[in-house]
Order: sequence, then structure tokens, then C-alpha cells
Amino acid sequence: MDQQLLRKREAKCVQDNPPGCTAGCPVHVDVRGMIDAIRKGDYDKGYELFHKMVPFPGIISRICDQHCRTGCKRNEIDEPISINALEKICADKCQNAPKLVRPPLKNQKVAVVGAGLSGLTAALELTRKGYRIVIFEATGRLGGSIWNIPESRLPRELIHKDFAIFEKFPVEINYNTAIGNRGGSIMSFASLCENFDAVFLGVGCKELNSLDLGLEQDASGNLVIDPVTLATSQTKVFAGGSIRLGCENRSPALSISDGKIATISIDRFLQGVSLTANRGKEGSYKTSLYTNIAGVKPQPIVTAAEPASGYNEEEAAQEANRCLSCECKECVKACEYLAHYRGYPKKYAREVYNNLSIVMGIHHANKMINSCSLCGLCEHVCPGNLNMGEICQEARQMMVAKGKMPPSAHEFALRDMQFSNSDRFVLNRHQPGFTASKMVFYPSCQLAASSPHVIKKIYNFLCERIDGGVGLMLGCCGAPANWAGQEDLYKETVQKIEQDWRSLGSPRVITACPSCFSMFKRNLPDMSVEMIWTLFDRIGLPFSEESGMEPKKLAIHDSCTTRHEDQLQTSVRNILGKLGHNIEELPHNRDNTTCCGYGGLMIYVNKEVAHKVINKRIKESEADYVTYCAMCRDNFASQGKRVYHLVDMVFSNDQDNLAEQEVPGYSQRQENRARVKTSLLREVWGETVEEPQSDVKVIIPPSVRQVMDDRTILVDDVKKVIAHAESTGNKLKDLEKDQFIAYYQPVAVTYWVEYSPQDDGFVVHNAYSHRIKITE
Amino acid sequence: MSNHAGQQTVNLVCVKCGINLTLGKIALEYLGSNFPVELYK
Ligand code: SF4
Ligand code: SF4
Ligand code: SF4
Repeated sequence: MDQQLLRKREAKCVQDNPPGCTAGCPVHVDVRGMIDAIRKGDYDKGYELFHKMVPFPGIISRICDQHCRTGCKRNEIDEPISINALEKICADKCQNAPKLVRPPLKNQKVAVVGAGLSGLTAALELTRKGYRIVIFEATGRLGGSIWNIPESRLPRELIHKDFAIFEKFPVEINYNTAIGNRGGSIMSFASLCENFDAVFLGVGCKELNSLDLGLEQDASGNLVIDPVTLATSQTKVFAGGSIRLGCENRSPALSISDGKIATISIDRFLQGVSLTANRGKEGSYKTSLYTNIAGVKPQPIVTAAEPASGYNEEEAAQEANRCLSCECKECVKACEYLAHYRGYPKKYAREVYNNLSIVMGIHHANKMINSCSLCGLCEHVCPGNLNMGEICQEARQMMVAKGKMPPSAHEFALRDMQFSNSDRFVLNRHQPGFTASKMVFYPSCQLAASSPHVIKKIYNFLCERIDGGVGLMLGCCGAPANWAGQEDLYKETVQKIEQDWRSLGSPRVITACPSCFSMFKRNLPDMSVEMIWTLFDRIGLPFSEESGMEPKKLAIHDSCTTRHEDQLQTSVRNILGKLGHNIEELPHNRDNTTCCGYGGLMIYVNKEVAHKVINKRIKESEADYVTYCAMCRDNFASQGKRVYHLVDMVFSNDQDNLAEQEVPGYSQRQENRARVKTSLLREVWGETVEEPQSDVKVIIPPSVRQVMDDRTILVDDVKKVIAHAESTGNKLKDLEKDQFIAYYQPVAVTYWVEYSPQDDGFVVHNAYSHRIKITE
Repeated sequence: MSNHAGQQTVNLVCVKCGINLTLGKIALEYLGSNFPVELYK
């Protein structure tokens, strides 16, 4: 994943963009943060955030013209937040104003002509950057036109308090000093320009001609000012405030914004860098932050009981509570995995990229990258369609390619896949008595593991209903390799499947697993593939006497791998209807469905997150669930949910206990698959199959079985250790417990078993494994 | 495995040679990195 692609991906996430209020505010006050502080009664913090962007907080807290309110999201619901009133209470209640630091002085001198809000802002901001500032003001006081505002609205002590800052900074102020090239001016503008390195012109709404500055004017006599940089026709002269806005459009907020924009330009000019590069987001703009307001109720704006003194604390808190704290995080709300890591995709994308870039050291994001279920829900809910799964899967592929994938991450799932694609399970046959197949049934490894008893019934039913022969293919579709980022292994697996399928004459594939369906559909373009449910919806169900389950209310869980298969989802609902059940739709359904915790191998990599995912899902409804994927069923059942697999509802006779069917452990799953193959060979093809002779007989108590499943250790692994220890004599004896301890490393993992002999077998007391190799 | 490494003393005997396990230096390898530890052997 190169830097450019990463940028493109993460640019889809708008969560970092400011809320509408901040973007609308010409100086970008963090209104959301300030309001959050007010909610907590922390006015010092609120004031700090306000003051951070506003140089004269006392004045602005009374007179701001609130461009922020135009951008406020609440406009779409009722009325925007009363932001200036909240700023006022922060300014009034603040006990500890933050201190301003004085930077080392630079040599360059800047003249500020006119001490209105724009000029004073430029003067203060440039001083804070270390420039030497000289102010030239035509009258005898600072503030310009703000003195025209009635005292009742703008108490004079606030003006004095805000401007006291100029006594603390080395700013030279020349009062009663008009600048211009006409008579009456104390100093000519031309000589000013000669004596200073840069000039900011903020003379308010004056009749320009009366000043005769020699700067370019447009047809209507206005000064020509670049809207982005505030540069004038003379290189070192910048201008802003009411001289730019015009007398009719005076705006305190825009004036201080101009002072700030000019500061950036003058600083760049004096440093000799580009005036125009990267200047997108200064002043007021429209944000691209998305905020979901569905379900937000209208709430009238809070009015102060005493308008003259503004909000009291209670009123301020009430108004603050109307604020939506705008943010996107649609994906985080929908996905437990994203919520677990306490960030959002833009942040995660960076972490993934950093993780891939470091050569040595700890790869902190490994587990995060490997925990995503690759389910695609984020892409579906994201306004910019960012797919975190795509990022995680690519990252896995790169980790594998560079040898940086910890082998422990996916080892068990890959071994399980290897089993399913070994001789123990794989089978490719035409229907008995046929030499060709019109269709081929591909039940999937997980259905065979989870509901072994139904495979033969489905197959017989298909053979009965479909003319022209129904073949059978047993195996694993390769999803684990695909999800693990093992591209080579996946390709190899798919090629093998394709070969077997072609050798049967490339019949139409009917599968009973949504993952197989989506894997084949996506990666085997020549293969025509369908799920049993759309087929059954067309050809009808095998209504036998036994399948008489009481009609009930069932909530459908759609599989995430088939989230865009609208026809399939409809067929599943049709079939439930034909069975006489009442369907409940979950809040997340169809293309908006969630993963069950199996996708992307989440459950093997991060049980904690997978359990969160499962538990959130099973609590969406009290009703029993019905799934059409074996893993979905097993994952929900493992956390105590009553859940049916649709296939069991149609094909099983043991109707009553279906929802409580026990989830088979990992060893049992493999045994079930092997048994499906042998019983089909015997019962359908009439072949004699030798049972493989097990050399070691083990007795495993249920508690140890549980421990083994948690540690993904198979009965087979344990047998190998004991067989090895018994044949070589390489074992230890624990004298206290009177037990043997032995280990064996068949491939990468070393297994340890504590056991003792009993009759003709061995009792297993404990088993554990590790990947650290003992070299000496 | 850690069940045993953490204990102060162990009462383990090698079945083949009948000798008690004692602490000794062992080299371990994980993901291509080597590190020595002291364990019973
Ligand atoms: S949905 Fe998620 S990824 Fe998309 S913009 Fe919102 S926070 Fe970012
Ligand atoms: S609701 Fe709050 S955070 Fe959202 S735009 Fe309005 S003031 Fe800002
Ligand atoms: S688990 Fe699904 S919704 Fe969550 S980040 Fe991964 S792909 Fe997106």
C-alpha cells in the first residue's frame, strides 16, 4: 500500500473535519470543545478554547456576528446553538485566563496602520511571532469603530481589559498619527513603506481617495485586495478589515479573521516563502463532516431569564445540551471492532501504514490489522464509502509477502483448511449411475462440520429433483487463506477447486454456504454458482411428514459475505414464509447486516472482539434467530443464543432441540467432516471404506476438552504427542502428580501434554502449545 | 509451559535417564530472533 493509495483511502474518511460551527466561524473556534467544557461546568477550559482563536475574547464575546451559527447542524432540525451567549458565560466565569508567552524578538519591523479590530489582531499575532510592531492610529484610542457600540452591549471595561495586552508586549503605538500622502498626514505612506519591512493597512471604512495611498483601486473605487492572501498591488502592503468588507458589511468576526490571514501572509512574505501555497481553509467555509441527525428531536433554543445579563449557569448547561457534538463515526457506531480500538478509520489507516513501514521494532497494529472481519459494513454505512476491511486485507497480504505476519495469527484456521482440502474430506463425484453432472452440490466444510446429518438429505433431494445428474464436491473454498492474506496459498486452493470442477464437466455449482458462494462468485469468473436457497425458492421444498416445526417468530440474520445478494436474501425470506414462520427484521439486515465474528478469521485472532461482536448482534432481538450460514449459527449458539440454521429447519426431523444444538468443538468438526465423506461413500456410492486405525486411545475429560478448544489444540495433536513419547521414551515424570509430561513438534507448533496411562489408553490432564523453538 | 517455569523447585525426572531436572541455560528462537533464558533442563 503506497503513500498515495493510503492518502486516497483515508481521504474518504471525513471524521477529522471540523463541525459546521467551527468551519463557519471565520477564526475557527472549537465550539464543540468549548460547549463540552460548559457541560462539565469547566468555564476555564471553555474560555481557553475560545481565547485560543480569538485575540480579544471580552469584546468578541459580546459583539460577535456569529458566522458559526450559519454552519451549525441544528439549523437542519430547529435553531442553531446560541454560541455567542455561551462564549459570553465562559468569558464572564473564567477564573484563570491562560498566559501568553513572549517570543524572542526578530529584526524585521511591521507597520500597522489603523487600530481597529483587524489592525490590532494583526499587531498582536505578528508580535506573538516575534516581529517588531509599530501601530499608527489616527485617533487617540485603540479599537476603531467598536466605540460606536452602546455601552449597554459592550461594557467599556471589557475593551480596556482586552487591550491591556498591548502593555505587556513591546508594541509601539503612535496615537493621533494619520498616515497618507495628502496634507495633514503626519507621515507619508511612501516613506512608511520605505522604513518598514511590511505594512498592514486596516484603516476601516474610509474614503480611500482621501488617503491617496497610490495603491490600485477597482472601477468603483475600492482597493484591489487578493481575497486569499489580502495582498494589495504593492508587494509589501496587505490590507483587511472594514476597508475590504465595506461600511455596510462590517463584521467583528471577519475583521479579526482578516488580521489573522494577513499575519500568515506577512509572515510568509518576510520569510520569503510562497504566499499562496496550501491556503484552502482560512476564513469561513462549509465543512464536509457528516453527522447523522436521524432521530434527533427538536428542542427550542434556551432563552435567558434576564436577557441583559445573559445565560446563568443552568441556562448555559441547558443550551449546551442542545449541541449535537457533531461527528461522523457512523462506522464506529456500527462496528464493534472499530469501536474496540477507540479511534476511527482515518486514524487506523495511518497506524496500519506505520505498522507496514517499520522494519524493526514492535508492530503494535498487528493485532488490529488481523482482527477485522472484512465484512464491508463500514463501507456500506460510510458517507465516503471507506472500507476498512479492504485496508486490513491488503495489509495482511503485505505482511505475509514480507514475512512479517506472526504465524500464530491464522495458523489454526489454515491447518483446519488444510484438513478440509486433504483426502480426509475432499471428494469429487458424479451422481451414482451418471457420467456427467448438470449441477454439482458443494455443501462447504463448515456445514459438514456443524450439521453433518443434513448433507446426505440435501444431496438426495437435489438428485431427486434435478435431471441430468447432480455431482458432489467436498472441500474448503479457500476463504481462510484469502482472509489470512495468504495470496499464494489461496490461488493454489482456487486452482485446485477449478481443476476438480472442470474435471466434472464444469457443472453449475450449488452451495450451502454464503462464504463459498461469495468466494466462488468473486474469484472464479467462469463458474456459475448459486446458493441452495434461491434454487429451493424456485423448485420447491422437500415437504416431508416430519418437517412440521411449530410456526413461530424468527429474526433473520443475513450473512455479511452476501450482503449485496438481494435475491438470495429475498429467497430466504420466501422459504421461511413457506415454512409458515413469522419473520422479524433485525435493525441491521440485508445490505446493512453485521458479521457473526467469523469473517476475516476474527474469532481466531481476537476472541475478545469477536465476543463483543456476537453479543451485540444476539441482543438486537429477543426472538430466536435463523441464519443460513453454519458459522453464524455456531457463533451465536456459542454465546447462548437460541438460533436455527435454515438448512436444519428444512431437513432435520429433530425439530424441537434444533435451537439448542450443541456447538461442536474443533476436533469434533474435523471428525464430522471425515464422517460425512465416509458415510456418503458408503451409503450413496455403496463403497466399503476402511476406518483409519487409531493407534492411541485417549480419554479426555470435558474440562480438558474445553481448555484444548480454547487453545485450538486438536485431539489429533494430543495423540501425536503421546504416540511420540511412548514410542521414543522421551517424556518426563512429575513425581508429585504421578503423571507424564511430553512434547512433540509436528510442524511449527510445539505441543505439550500431561497424561497418565489407564487401561489400554491414556487420560489427558492438560495440554498447551507454543511457537517458541528450543534451539539449544 | 509457564506452569512449570514459574515454580521455584520442580520434581521432574527424565524417564529415560532417571535424572532430576536442574536449571540451565537454554537458547530460544521466535520469529527469527534468538534469546537465552535459564530454565530447567
Ligand atoms: S463512517 Fe467512519 S470512515 Fe466513514 S467518514 Fe465516518 S468516521 Fe470516517
Ligand atoms: S450542533 Fe454543536 S457541534 Fe454541531 S455545529 Fe452546532 S454548535 Fe457545532
Ligand atoms: S469488521 Fe467489518 S465493519 Fe468493521 S472494520 Fe472490518 S470490514 Fe469494516
